[in-house]
Amino acid sequence: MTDIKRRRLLYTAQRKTKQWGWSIIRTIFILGFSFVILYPLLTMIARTFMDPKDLYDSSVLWIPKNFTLINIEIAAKGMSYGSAFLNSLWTSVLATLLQLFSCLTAGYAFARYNFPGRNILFVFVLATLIIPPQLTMLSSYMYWSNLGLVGSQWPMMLMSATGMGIRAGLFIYLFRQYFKGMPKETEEAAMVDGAGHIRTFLSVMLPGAVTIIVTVTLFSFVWQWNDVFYVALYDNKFMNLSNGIGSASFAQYFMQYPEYAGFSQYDPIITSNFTSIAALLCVAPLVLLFVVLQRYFVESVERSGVVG
Amino acid sequence: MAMFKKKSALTRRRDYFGFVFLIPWIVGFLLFFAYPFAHSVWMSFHNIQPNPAGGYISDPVGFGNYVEAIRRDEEFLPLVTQSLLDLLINVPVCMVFSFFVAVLLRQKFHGNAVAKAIFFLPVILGTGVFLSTQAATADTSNVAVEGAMQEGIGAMQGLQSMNLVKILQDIGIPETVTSYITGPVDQIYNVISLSGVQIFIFLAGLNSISPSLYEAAYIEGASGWVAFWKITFPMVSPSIIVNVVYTLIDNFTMSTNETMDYIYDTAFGMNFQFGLSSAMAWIYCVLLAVLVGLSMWLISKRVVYQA
Repeated sequence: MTDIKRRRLLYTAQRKTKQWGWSIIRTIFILGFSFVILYPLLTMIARTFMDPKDLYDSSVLWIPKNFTLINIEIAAKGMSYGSAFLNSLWTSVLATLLQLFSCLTAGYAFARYNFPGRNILFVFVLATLIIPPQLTMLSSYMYWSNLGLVGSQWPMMLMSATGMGIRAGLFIYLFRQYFKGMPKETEEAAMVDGAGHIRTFLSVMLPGAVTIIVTVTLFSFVWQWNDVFYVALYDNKFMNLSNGIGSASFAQYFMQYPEYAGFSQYDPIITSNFTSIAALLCVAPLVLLFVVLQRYFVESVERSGVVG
Repeated sequence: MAMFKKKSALTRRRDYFGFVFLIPWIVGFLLFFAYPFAHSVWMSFHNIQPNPAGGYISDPVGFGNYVEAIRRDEEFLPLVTQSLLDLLINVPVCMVFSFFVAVLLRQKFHGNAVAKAIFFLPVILGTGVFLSTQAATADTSNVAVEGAMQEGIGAMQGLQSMNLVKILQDIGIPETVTSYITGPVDQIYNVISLSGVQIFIFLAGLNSISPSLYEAAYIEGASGWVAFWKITFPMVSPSIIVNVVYTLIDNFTMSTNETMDYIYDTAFGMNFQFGLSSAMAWIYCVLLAVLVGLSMWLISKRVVYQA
């Protein structure tokens, strides 16, 4: 009896130490990787509030000695933040809505209608996903410039509205998978009740697909917001946030401030600091959005294996 | 039988309605994808110059652009080889790393949701501006900004180990040793920012494995090690294909990719060599297609699909 008891005790002790050991190792790894992810972000944030003297002071690592907000002011002026933010906002929102429209209809057609040539057309959808836009960027550029639309937001919007926007192939694929998984009966019931094709789609199928619509909306918005490739290609004078990081010139603004007196306008540390502040200001709205909607982002991807 | 025929005719008419939903996509595909695609093939066989009077002048040159890209251009081939070598290292490292992190994140522990949120950050930050120099390079007139941008990125990545190097050297460790230690440390940041999406694809794959498989295995006396290789690994193998293809394409088309930059500069830099740039893009993309095909063929033989 006692022997069995002792063995059982030994066994649980062994298991406990194993579990503890593993959870310690796991914690170390997770903390370490999280640190690596957050470190550049945190340094960038810390350096945002530093006086130029602090940037050169090697004893200042995290907490600025001379706390200042002028850097944000200068960076915001340099990239004309107000109008750039509005530009980013309206283009991203509009492109996202257009993409939702074109990708939902295409995904629905591929999932629920067995029209001739469906499989070949779907292979073409995958081709638009896999073939990098850089391959055709020159021809696309000449195409739009022949139409006289380079230098406007028309190319991006027209492409979004026709399922050729940023990673539209992926969204079509996701919608198709989702609609395929919905029961056929709901659709048939709507048809029997006298709803037409479009009405069935709008009032029966769409409400059932809210989760995937939320996921696609979030990703489409984030990718659109961060896009630099299409903006630089079709309209590099367009001052939105992502384009403003590279093309804004901060020197003419920071040279006017007394804090920056005595520093060269080509000073690499100062100019690079402004570039990173600009990058921070660009993604700040996204990070806020992410903090608020974090659950939707992570859960949706985790559940559906999205983004593949 | 008559009933059946009538029904099938009805469903066929119903099926044609799919084209109505597909109209936007078909229009977009023909106008904005198929046409530029064909045009870029055509361009790679032509010498194209902007016409001062407006428009472009083009002369057919056969394979001239391809010959020039491979034989005469001194930078293109070394850049392509370098990109391919980087891929050979990056893809396996990304795969192992993102799989490992997915296994970690799948377990239950305090702060799991916070950890997931942190690991998700690179998906949001990594896709665009943070890693990108494209906006700066597109604006070739502004050399100062371009320099600043590269400085900024360099500073961001260099910052990781600068402090560590200082500490190690203060202790008195020779420089060769410190650089050996800090090399991979710097690399970790790149690897993490490249595997943001992949982690979550693996996580989805892991979540789809039915727990009953593990229960059965443990009842039969399998150890955790065996269960991993006999259950976990085969069951996520479909995600491995997706991830490898994703990583390959992502690495190839990233705006920080030097070959892509060079192709872009050839087109929009000093000389506007559109034909040459198209030929380069085609060489590069055919190589990518070969790599994708090869890796899919290699992996798909070992993939296990859930019934």
